[in-house]
Amino acid sequence: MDIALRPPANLVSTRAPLYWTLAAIPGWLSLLAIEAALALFTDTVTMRLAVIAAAVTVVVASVHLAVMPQWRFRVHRWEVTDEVAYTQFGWLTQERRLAPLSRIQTVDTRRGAFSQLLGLADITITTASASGAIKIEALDQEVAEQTVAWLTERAQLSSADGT
Amino acid sequence: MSDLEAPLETAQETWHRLSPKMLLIHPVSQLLNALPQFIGLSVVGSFLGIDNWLLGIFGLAAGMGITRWFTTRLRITDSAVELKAGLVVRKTQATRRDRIRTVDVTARPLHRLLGVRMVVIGTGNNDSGGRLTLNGLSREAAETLRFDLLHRAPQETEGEELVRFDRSWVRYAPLTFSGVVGTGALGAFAFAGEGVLGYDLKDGLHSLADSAQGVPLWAQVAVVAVTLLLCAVLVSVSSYVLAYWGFHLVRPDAGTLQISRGLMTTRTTSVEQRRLVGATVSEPLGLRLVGAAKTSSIATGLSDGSSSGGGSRLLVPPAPHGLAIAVAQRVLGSSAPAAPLLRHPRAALRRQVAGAVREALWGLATAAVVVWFWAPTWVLLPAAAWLLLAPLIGFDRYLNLGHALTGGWLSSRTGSIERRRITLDTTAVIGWSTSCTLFQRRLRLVTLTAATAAGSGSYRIPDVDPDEALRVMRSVSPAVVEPFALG
Repeated sequence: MDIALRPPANLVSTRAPLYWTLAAIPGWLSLLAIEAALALFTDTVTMRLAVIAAAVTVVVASVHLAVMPQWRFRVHRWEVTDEVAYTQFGWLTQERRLAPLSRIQTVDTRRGAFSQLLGLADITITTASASGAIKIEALDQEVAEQTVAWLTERAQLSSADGT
Repeated sequence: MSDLEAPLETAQETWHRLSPKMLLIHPVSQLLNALPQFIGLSVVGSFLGIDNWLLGIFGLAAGMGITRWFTTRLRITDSAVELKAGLVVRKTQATRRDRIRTVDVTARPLHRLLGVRMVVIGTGNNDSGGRLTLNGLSREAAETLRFDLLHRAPQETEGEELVRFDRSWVRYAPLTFSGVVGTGALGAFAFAGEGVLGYDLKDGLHSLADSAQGVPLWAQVAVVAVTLLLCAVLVSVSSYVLAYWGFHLVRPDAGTLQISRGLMTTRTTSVEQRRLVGATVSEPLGLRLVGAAKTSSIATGLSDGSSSGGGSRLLVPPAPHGLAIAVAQRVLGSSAPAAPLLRHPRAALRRQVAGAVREALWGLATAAVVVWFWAPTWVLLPAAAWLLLAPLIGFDRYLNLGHALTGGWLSSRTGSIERRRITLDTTAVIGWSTSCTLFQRRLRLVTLTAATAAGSGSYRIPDVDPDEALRVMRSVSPAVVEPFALG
């Protein structure tokens, strides 16, 4: 990021890379399953193509699973001050989002199957904008709970309707 | 209980019925809506030799219409508008008056004939639950209600006129994309209608092709091209005239904008001025080439798809470019929509060209897959032509790219085939995001996105210099950005 803003202060949970790895596996497996089905149940030309595709998939998936989680862990950061929620996320494409707490409409936490397994939680902060939601992924559960409590308290202080 | 023939006394706490004229309108419109099924049934009916079914269907429609009138009640109090409807499932809808953001008055041809109006009250909620439809108020009652709900006194003068329809604008209709889309839809309809209406389109086309055997190829191509062109012109002109005839944009008083339009079905929309936080001037390629454009509003609580038809956000239909800009300026009360734009860094050119070429390659790949499986080879031709034109499109996108921050307004222009320039009130910006791909990081570019509660929710300024992006963010939202800024 070339933009002259300092990155947000806090790292996400140290278990986050493991979480991203686990979360990426089902997608790759289902792609492989489709290719395997094509290879087993079709005629020669499509079969050959499916085998090649499966080989490519295995290579790409291993690279993705080896690189993506660590890379993300180096990028993902978050910070909530008295005034502002600020996040940085992504890996190949990286993004930073800033929203004043006075514009917050809802604060949600979500715990998927893998998150629960690892004691993690995601926070989603929505504003009045249809596309301005701020998401903080893979936080330690206690940290997420404290942050949500803090955000809810702050959001109640401002009485405007957020538009 | 009173009928809504006289203007409404809105302070009354009584429940009203809709105009009794709806007893005629409901059955007729229900019959018209059911026309496709009607035709299908008539084919089946004549096969089975049933003759009285027509009477039955008419009775059913009339019965439904009459029930609808008898079961619908409406009440307008100082604080809310309430609607009760339904026989089997009783439904009560209520909207608080201070939540009302738009009031739409629509009249279909039959409505107009009988002096009845349909009023749609919008609360800015995107789903249909956010809208209250009062189908069947008298013309006077609808007018009174509109001004009451937007807290305005009834209109006596015409107010400030911003746009009055000019017949010569119809010449722009063929240059919009609606003709192409409409012809495509017509073709699809013709093929789909084969079964029901009992003609054989493919057979007809084949026999047509057979009879053209002796004619040289270029003539065949020319005939087909001219026919398609005529169809496209016909469709686009008629849809333009139907939608925009009599287009009229006025500001009856300082607080409201009022848009009226339509040839057969007339429609009047009122929007509160304070909800209006920006405007988009868009120039699809055809319009741009002849110096035309259209303008639409960006308003809080009015998403792009809301208030059915979508076109109610339109402030100027395809019309001369100068007018489109001038109206945007007068509506916003600022010269910002025409302010000069800052050119983006040269590196953005590479990225725009690369982006356009990548899109064309995807198109070619898709065409190749389609051809591989079933389509004729010539499908590759337009895809290849697209690829050849892609660098030009990318170059044009770069030339169009620009942004400006002028006195509390943020402007940004993007696109080539569909060039558009947005102008947004910076106080409506409620958050920022900056993103960069791997490629952008190498070229030292970022994409800056302003989040807002209005319009489509976010407005992008692609491929800006990072320092310039920071300058824009800092001057618009100092309290948000300053704590994190370096230097």
